[in-house]
Amino acid sequence: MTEDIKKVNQSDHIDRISDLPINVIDGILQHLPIRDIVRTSILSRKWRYIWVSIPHLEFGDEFFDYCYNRDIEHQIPNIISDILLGHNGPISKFTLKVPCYFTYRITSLYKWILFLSNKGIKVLVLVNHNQVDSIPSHLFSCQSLTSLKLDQFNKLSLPHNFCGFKNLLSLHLIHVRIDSNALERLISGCPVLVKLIISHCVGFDCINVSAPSLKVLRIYNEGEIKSIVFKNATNLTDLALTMSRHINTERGSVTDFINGLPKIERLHLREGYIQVLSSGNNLRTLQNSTNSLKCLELVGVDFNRSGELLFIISLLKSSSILRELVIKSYTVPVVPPSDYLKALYLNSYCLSHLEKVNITVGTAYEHAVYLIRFLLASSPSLETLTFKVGLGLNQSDAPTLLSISRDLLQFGRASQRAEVKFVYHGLT
Amino acid sequence: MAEKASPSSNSISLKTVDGKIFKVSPAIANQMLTIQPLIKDSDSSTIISLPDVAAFHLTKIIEYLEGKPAAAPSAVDAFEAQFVKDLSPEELKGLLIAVGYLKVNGLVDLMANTVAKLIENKSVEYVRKFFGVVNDFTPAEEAKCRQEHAWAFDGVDED
Repeated sequence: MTEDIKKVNQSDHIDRISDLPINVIDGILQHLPIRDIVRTSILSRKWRYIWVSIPHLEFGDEFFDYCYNRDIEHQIPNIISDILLGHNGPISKFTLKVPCYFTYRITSLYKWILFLSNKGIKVLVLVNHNQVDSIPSHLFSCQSLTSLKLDQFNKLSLPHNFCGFKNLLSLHLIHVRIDSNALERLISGCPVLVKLIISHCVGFDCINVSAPSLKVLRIYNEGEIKSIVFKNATNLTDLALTMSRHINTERGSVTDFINGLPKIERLHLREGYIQVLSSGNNLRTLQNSTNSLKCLELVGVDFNRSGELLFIISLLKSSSILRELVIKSYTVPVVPPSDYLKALYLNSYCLSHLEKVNITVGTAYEHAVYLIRFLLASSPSLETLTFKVGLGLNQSDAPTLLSISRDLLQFGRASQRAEVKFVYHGLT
Repeated sequence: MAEKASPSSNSISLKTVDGKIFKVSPAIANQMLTIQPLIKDSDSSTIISLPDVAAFHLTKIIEYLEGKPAAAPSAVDAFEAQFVKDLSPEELKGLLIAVGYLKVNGLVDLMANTVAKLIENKSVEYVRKFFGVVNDFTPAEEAKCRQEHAWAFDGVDED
């Protein structure tokens, strides 16, 4: 057999600069802070203009700290303008994070955004901790955007001729003031949106949109949201909802919304939503939406409300393929555990797929211990169960900790390989 | 150096610039994007010659591709940190050139990041020496370039 030697001969094609192929130089520059990138301009004549075509530009904490420490923070707007104007080629990612200590008004932001809108910008991150400006309207003409994150803007209003972000996959709004109408227009204008995170935004009280491509939805809000309706959100797999307690949300709208999500795999509910969904008599609240649930996280459960415990149990029983459970409770114990809870472990119920459990409590450990007894008795596939308590800072907690450890050792386990970790303050 | 690849295996033979032949599985070879087109119409007797890659570099590249954990990001981070830990700056640079040339999946970014950390906040002279760059500016030209972006040239770490 003749030997067939093929040669990869790229030496002729690769544009080399001091032995480094261009793709490698781009790779290195992408991992350097902007000041080091700029410094490469004086390495040699060949290096002089390499940096001006880097596709990613980041002006973040490191840049602002650098300028601040040299008392040149007043130059920052000009520095950014100069770099943008001298740039050659497309800019696919631009990050600007203005820290709270930066007191100069950035009046050129609208110009930079206008500039970027003509540079094919795809990923844009604007964090404005000095809280002055509203969002430049040119932003809404950046048609190639695939990912947009806005943090701390006083007002987000859409121009009348806003025609949507046709390519936007990910939208992240933090501390942005936006009214219901604008929010609905914005989301509706993103037909391929996959990920939507609305965090601590104000100004809206309902969301009613159609979002057929959405897979991840996270809404973290202290304030009141009267109703959340994502029509046709049949592809949603990851949902997180946070709201303070004691807020009048229509229970029906939330229940209907969650029940209309056939593919949900990760569900994270916090405080107000746990309260809302567990109130009332109907404990079969979310049965339609738990068939594919793999991970359930409930943060801020109130063990003093028997309804919330029953809600957890009913969710567990209907989530037939659940693998991971996280429960956090910060309440102070007032109501002792009910007889129902104490006897729960006697039910011969099988949580056949549950592998990992994480329960964290403050001082309301008694309720949690009974819940753990039930979980240990009902989970044949369990691998680890971690129980964290907010005890152990005082010497007087020692007997309680000892009794919890003893209980955890004695409880019957459906899984032979289950590992139980008990964690408390001070020692682990 | 007419070493023959065994015709019975379906492995791909790669020959480094210093004449060593490595046999790798198609799954590994396919992660080197530069040689991908050559794999398609290769048979087991084909030897692909890599003029820019030394045996030491190819050994490390194969070690990376075979050893990288598939699952958890934390495991990948630990593996990558270990992978670059004992390499000297010179070895890092050589390996970076080799992976940049072969376009090895994942490794280009790791190596670029590792090298970037070595030159971050270092003086222009240090970076020139590291990359073997000859300064062909006249002093006047260099001063002019510095002046254009004067803000960026204040304060560097010890070399």
